[in-house]
Amino acid sequence: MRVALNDVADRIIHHVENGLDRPVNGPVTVRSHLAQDLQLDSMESVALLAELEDHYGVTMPVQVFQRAQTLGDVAEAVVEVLERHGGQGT
Amino acid sequence: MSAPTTLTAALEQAAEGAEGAEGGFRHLRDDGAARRVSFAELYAQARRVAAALQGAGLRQGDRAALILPDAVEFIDTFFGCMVAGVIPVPMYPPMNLAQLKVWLSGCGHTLRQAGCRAVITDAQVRPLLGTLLAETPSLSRVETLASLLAEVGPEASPRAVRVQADDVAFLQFTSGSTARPKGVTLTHQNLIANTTAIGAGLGLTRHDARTGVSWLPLYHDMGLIGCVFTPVVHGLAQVTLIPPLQFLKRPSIWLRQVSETRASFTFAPNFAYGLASARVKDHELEGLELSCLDVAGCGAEPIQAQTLHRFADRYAPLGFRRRAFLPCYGLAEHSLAVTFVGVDDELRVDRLDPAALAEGVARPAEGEVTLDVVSCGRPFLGHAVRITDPAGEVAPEGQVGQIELAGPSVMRGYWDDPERTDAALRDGWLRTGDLGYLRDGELFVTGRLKDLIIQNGKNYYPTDLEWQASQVDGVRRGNVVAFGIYDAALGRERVVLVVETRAMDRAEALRAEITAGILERLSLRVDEVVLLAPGGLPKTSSGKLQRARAAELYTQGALGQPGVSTLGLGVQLLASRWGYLKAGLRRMNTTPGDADV
Repeated sequence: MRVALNDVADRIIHHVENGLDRPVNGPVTVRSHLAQDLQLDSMESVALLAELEDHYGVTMPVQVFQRAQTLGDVAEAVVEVLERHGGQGT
Repeated sequence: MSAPTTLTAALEQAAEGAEGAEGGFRHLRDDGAARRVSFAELYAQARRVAAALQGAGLRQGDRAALILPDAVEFIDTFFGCMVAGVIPVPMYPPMNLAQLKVWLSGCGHTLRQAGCRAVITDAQVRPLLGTLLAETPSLSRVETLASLLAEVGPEASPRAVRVQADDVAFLQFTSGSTARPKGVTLTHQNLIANTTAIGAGLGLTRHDARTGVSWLPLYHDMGLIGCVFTPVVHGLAQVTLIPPLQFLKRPSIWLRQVSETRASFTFAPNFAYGLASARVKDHELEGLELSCLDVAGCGAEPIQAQTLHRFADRYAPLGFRRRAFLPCYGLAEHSLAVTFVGVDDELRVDRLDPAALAEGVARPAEGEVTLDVVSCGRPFLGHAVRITDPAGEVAPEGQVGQIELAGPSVMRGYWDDPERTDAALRDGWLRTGDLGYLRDGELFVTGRLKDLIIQNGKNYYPTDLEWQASQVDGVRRGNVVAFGIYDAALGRERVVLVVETRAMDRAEALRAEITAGILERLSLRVDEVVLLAPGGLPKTSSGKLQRARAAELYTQGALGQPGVSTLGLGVQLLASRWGYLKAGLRRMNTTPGDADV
């Protein structure tokens, strides 16, 4: 089953809104900039990957964040990883 | 067989015989597979790298920067340099493209300070290095390890180079972000002394069959000296090396490796034990059994008894023994380790009276409010620790003062920096800039004179944060102080930035911009930005900003008063350990670290 980009994006947004041990300013969207809007640090970034691994049952390489600027970029990179793995998921 | 006096001789010895073909490193790859590299293989590869370096024109005493994210390549090249007598300068690799510019500028400072002739890197990093070659006069080559090795055959042998005990073995740069980085200069003799002492502290025997696990980065002293050099010097059977980012992503990988390899030893900073308590889910622990662990070393940043107890509570059901904790104290200027608690000793925690401690006296608390300080154990044989008061006199037991060290592990100095070397080394004693006291011969570390901010085991200089914040429009340039204060609720230091501004009307935007700028440039998240009207920051009579005083006022909720308090809620709840200490020890503000610009 193919995993839709929207599902992945929703999952990521949900994690950023609820899964960090600190409040996040303003609305969180796919256009939220990782540094400027969310102040996501490297530790929180890799924790998000672990969360996605748990949900989709697929190993997320740490390189997912390497070229991303926004949450939308992260979602796209994650979808690529899922598709390489045959896109199992919920 | 005589004991080796250089690391190269130690590797040659470790590579000999059946043990040399069996013992070595086990590298965990990103895909979960493991690759074993025996000491014999490492030595052969190091000789090949040495021949390639010589072929590329590098000579004994030249400095070569190593930017190699892959642990196998890093270790091969490191020892290859040492076989050729070339001085390796480990540098941390870039984390992501967003931080590339800052990383490159830090690289440039380090390359110039070390006078590197070559950079050895890999094919991923090579294209990112851009104009580094043009901007570093001493630099003549930027090579990938693969391209260097392509020039020599698999059996290549280097020309013999005589490496001696008092030759410089490598340079350890302690911070990559300052304009004047300090290159801790360590000789082979320093490293042999420290790794031998560590071995004695752990009760290691030659070709010890017990195994270890580490996820520490190799450009960090605890990862490199503790988890690579120490195994080589003692010819240990096996140390498993986990890529650091894999650990940060899923801290349970650390515990899983310990369990699966039945490891006896592991070392990590305090924050790692916190992470392994907070970020590991129960389902990740299935089948784990941790009773094998004899030593869970903890060092490189202030140790919180609470963090260790939380870890022990969580993992006791899996067989973890609380007495496996081995708190230690160390710093790069002393190669790595200074003191160790004895293997199998219980955690020893002094519960101190905060008011007395603020006056520099370690006295047991009588009331409910205590400041808990963990014992870091005793100094090694042949090494000395003393505490000095602000006048430089040796302080009696129980009195807090600067920790000073002497012995064979003390660095030769800072590379090409006589001024700061003289400030740090006086009359054969290394002035650490850390504060502590001795009790029954055990060292208790209570804080630091230098205003370093330590987050997740990494050092940040307040000046870097302050400069960065000063770039933001609306901030009164130069009227900024940054400090870290231990926050029990966070389980780590709370990073606070206090800024003078006339733009109170756009407070939120200002805070966001400052925080984002520092995160982007320094990879550090500021927990709180306090805005003050002009003149709100405490200054000396000569107009110099007072960081310690600002931190003290902050903990008292008195910053910027009289006037509207801009402090966040919950400040009063902070167990401001460093604040207390810094306040009480304000008068001790002469330290080598102060020379940082």
